[in-house]
Amino acid sequence: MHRMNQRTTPASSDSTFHSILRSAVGRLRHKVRPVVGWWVLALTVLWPLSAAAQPPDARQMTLLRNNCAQCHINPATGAPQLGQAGDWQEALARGEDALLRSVVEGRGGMPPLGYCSACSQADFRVLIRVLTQQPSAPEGET
Amino acid sequence: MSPQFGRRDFVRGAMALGVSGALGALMGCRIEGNEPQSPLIYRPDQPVPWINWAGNQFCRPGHRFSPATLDELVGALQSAPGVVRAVGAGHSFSALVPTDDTLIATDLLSGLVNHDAERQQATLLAGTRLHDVGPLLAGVGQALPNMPDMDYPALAGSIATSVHGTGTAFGSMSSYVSGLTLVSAGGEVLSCDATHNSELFQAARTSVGALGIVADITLQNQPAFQLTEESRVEVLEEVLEDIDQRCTAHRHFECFAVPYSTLCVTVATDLAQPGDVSSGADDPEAVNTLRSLFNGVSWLPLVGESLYDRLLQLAMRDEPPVVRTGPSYQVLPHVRQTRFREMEYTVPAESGPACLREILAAIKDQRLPLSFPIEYRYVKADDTWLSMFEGRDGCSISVHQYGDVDYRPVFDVIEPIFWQYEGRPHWGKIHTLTARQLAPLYPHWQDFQALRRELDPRGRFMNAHLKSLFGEV
Repeated sequence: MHRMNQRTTPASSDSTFHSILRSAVGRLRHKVRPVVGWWVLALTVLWPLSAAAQPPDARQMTLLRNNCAQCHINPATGAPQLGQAGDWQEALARGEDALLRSVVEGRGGMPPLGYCSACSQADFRVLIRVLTQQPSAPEGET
Repeated sequence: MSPQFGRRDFVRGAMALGVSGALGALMGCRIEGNEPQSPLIYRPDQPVPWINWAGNQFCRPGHRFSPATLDELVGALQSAPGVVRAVGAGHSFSALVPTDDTLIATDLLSGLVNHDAERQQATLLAGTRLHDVGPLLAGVGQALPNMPDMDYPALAGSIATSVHGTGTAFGSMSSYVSGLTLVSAGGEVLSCDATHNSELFQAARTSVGALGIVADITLQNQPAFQLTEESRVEVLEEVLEDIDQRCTAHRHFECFAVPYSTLCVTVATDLAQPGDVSSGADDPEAVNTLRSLFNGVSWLPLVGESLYDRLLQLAMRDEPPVVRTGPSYQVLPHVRQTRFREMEYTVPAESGPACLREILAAIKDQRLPLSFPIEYRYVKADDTWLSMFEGRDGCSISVHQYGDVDYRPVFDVIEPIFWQYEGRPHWGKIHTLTARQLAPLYPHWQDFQALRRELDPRGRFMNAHLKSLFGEV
């Protein structure tokens, strides 16, 4: 599902930060009682290690956990994976607006809204940047 | 809806006989994909619309709320203008959600509230996704006795529409509810269980969101357990002849009948035994492979259908079984990679084989463009007023069409067959019934209607679809 593009690079391209994050998130999803506070703690600790993306707030982390994570932190789904830069090359080449449109409308295996009915456009942009490890928006932009 | 075929062998078999999908460019009984993936075009900086998983329902609500607590949910309901609908994961195919007025998303109402180890019960917030329910319960040593075959929906949505798995000894998700908290149209917080507010309990466990918005749900679970699932290709008639024994012999049993073929894929699931190991691979793309092969050969005059069946026999008949073993919440659900539209009716359990045979015959006789396997499951009776399984053991038969194909030519032919067998439509899936046809199917229909009018006298939860369901048009 969610084959917006095929994985094109090996796992070794994973950044250290995202490896840690993905590992932590995976453990939280499958091993540990996944309470929102754990996620916030994980991101609070791990996010400063990354210079890539604007940190999501606690609400957006809950939205990510409940919706995006089920496919984008689950290689069995075939979806581009969090922290796997190569997975997102094709999508990023189309630009963030095109990616946003794909998220809202759905594309390939990606369902409309990525299951997130609570997400605003600003939420989607932040979550896209988190998943694709892209820099935060310039000041004043969403 | 996740049959496992030996996809690579399947394709190899087809190609060896020179019948690749390229031949499908010719016209015939092939499955044309002309439907757009999205029902609308979104442009950044416009208000984000709501669209369901299947892409066949959408709306542009004027007001949106995303409560994270019970108090916020109460506040949202007290201030929400117009018709109010709640949404979880948006996995329903029917128009339960669309409203142009107020949409309340339950994404943030998620997580484990508390648990009772002695009674094996746990209370979860209503928006908790099923894919989180399994790990959350495992964390306290519990597990749902049964689950649907996919875990994308939210807990409240699963309850609202009596989502189910398979197994003659197991009811739908609604049957595992031992209590719930609901906020009425007026913002009143109501709790209920089998002994307290028992009428509300019987109604609210399958309410299609007509009584209020559910805030939390207490589930009756069992100690965490492991399952082993085995999928294999078999001859459908042999399976149907032996269906009672199959259902008795296995904790869970279902099959996927392949239109225009004598074959089916059976899925038998039992408690895991020491030494069980996974083997083979689940192939979520199998339905697309099936479609390619169908398009490749079905157009051939006179021999197309028999050749299709023959190719399937060659490709699938000797496939070794696919085995998956692990925690119950990882074995029961399957990955979805293909968008589709679905109609499902539940007929009395004893009518299942006859109904399935009639559907398959109609597809063949009328040359309906359908290659998507038909899912065939059993669910135990319950006492929830609007559950499809109320008062009778049920056989649920699900017809799928690819998401880029107009489903109506196929569904329009098959739906009346279900009616002949006193079928009850799945509330979250596509059907055409209205209050006039629905009322005779449910002995407690008027009881539900009376309670609904008492709790929501102004019809705040009545969108166009619910008005049709409940005769408020």
